[in-house]
Amino acid sequence: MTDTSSTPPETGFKGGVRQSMSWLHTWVGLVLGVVLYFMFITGTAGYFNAEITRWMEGTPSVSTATVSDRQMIEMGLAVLERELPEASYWGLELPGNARVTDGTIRVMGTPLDENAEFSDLHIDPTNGEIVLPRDDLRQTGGGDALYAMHYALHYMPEITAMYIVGVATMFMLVAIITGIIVHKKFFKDMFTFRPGKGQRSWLDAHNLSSVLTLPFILMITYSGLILYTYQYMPSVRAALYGGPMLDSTEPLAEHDAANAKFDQELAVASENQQFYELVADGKPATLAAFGPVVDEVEKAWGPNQIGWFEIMHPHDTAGVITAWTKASETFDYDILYFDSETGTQLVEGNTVTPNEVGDVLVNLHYGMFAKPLLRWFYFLSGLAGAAMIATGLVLWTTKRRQALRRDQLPDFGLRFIERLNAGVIVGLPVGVLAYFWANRLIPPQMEGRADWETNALFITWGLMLVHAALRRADRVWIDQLALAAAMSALVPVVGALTTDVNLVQSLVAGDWVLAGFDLTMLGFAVAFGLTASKLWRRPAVLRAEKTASIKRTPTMEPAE
Amino acid sequence: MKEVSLDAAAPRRSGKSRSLTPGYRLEILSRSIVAIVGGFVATSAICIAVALVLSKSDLMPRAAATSLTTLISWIIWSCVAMWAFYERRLWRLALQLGGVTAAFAALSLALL
Repeated sequence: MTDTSSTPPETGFKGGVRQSMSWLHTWVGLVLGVVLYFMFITGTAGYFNAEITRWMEGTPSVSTATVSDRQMIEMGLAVLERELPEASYWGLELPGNARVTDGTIRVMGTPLDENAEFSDLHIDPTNGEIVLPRDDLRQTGGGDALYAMHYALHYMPEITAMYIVGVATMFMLVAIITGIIVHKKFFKDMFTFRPGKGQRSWLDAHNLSSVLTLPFILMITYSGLILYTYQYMPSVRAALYGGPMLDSTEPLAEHDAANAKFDQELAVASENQQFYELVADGKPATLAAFGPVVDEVEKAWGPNQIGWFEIMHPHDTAGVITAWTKASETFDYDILYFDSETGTQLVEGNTVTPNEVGDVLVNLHYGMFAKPLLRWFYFLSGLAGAAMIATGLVLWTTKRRQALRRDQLPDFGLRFIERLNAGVIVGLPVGVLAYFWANRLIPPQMEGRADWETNALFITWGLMLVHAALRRADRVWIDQLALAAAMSALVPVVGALTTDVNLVQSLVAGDWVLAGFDLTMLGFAVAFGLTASKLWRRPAVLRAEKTASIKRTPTMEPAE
Repeated sequence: MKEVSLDAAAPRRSGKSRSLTPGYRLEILSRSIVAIVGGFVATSAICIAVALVLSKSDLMPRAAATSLTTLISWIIWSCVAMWAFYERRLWRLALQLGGVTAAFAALSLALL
């Protein structure tokens, strides 16, 4: 290998440790920035996936009435006893948990007869009657389709996406670690922001968004890997339990023999096998009265805290009743277990296994336990993560612009990344807005409308990339930001014109899910609009950046 | 160690980088493959060996050893990836990584 560099002793690939890691940090960010930005934006939307789905279905709540847990469980069990007496599983999902529903009680079940099918039922909690399948709901991919893109991407087999996402996530972890290595003024950076100073401001913005949200970003990246850890890193389990070392044929098959054996041993190790080996023993038993069980739960949690109420094997001596909280203050749902025959509480083992640490990380990733305030923090942290990637991408181009000599023209790579940045950083949010618009504008009866919502996202995003490639350089960002502002401001209007719900009506009815969506869109409109007008009002600065090589000498970072 | 700022290298390498030759690109590709594929193999070897040591020596049950090593494998893999972009000579990187992998694989085979 030839080395033409004349710099003093180089120990590594790109100089010393810090230079090598700085180069790696920049290279990873540049190569995977777009995928990671896409994952952060769509994944962040996922913290409100159920809320987004409700809005996209476009109907008011069946009920916003408050009925006690006890009454709702009574109604649900009565319906199950009547509709599905022979079951291996009964489950009730009560309104008000993290999975926002339209105010109904969701009733689920698994028939004993494996060939029989039982689809979900919904009950109106005000009268206990089954709500007929609603034909006024818009067929939609909803928040779930948006959120699924952050791990399954789109237009490709799930396995391909899984590996792309895996590699991207692993290198995200590498980018975080290298970012910490090249950084040494952690606390100073937390309070450092020098706006309006070109490259230095972008560096500050990148540092600020990284350092402030580092705990979140580290957690979300590591736990993202843990979510698929036995698919990406199947070798240890394969070596100790058998099974393929590279589990590529059936990456999501979770019930192969090796896995089952592993799961069973995990349950034994954590002394919780009674909750895992939930195999019916075939001896019929009468289900315990639910009243005393609810009493016990309310003694532990207070009234009306139940989010899910489930019974494995309701009419078998091996049955277990499980109650989950709606949300919790800890990093996991609170769960209570009861024997389904006697109604006595079953106590969990208190041996903590490494796997349970992994489970906590996975719960942290989902954030399903979070109450509304914490959920908003999740959402904002996710956006800050996206901002960290965006500022890093912009920093790369700004730095190279300012380094150009007077007589130098930017090379293709720099111009390409500059325009790509605009088309991705603002273009993708415009695409997401198009997803919401498409939901309202595509006729409710159209075949395959859910697919077209998603197509609208990617077509619009593609148009934004084309626009970014062709438009005058100093107008690209302004155009797209203004479009994003207009589109988000008009979401509530388009919604009001095309559905039976509107912002005013939702506010009056106290339907905070629907109203919250519209208000959030208005908030985004303000943010996009302010950014656009700021860029618009400072043409001098833009021009200065365009001809940075003439007006400024390349600046080094201040000596440290 | 000499203090170097985050940006030290960039302004000097202005305009079109002279280093973007086909050979350089091939080297970056090789290092990426070492980081991903080599990283997987080396991490697997290390984690399997550690899991076997932990479970055979009764320090923890087999299931716990498996999940512990699988959970921390990402830290090891990340370090291997960073190493793949730090070691100056590609052949030495391949030799070192191959050696570590072989050593841990041998230990695993002895314990299996």
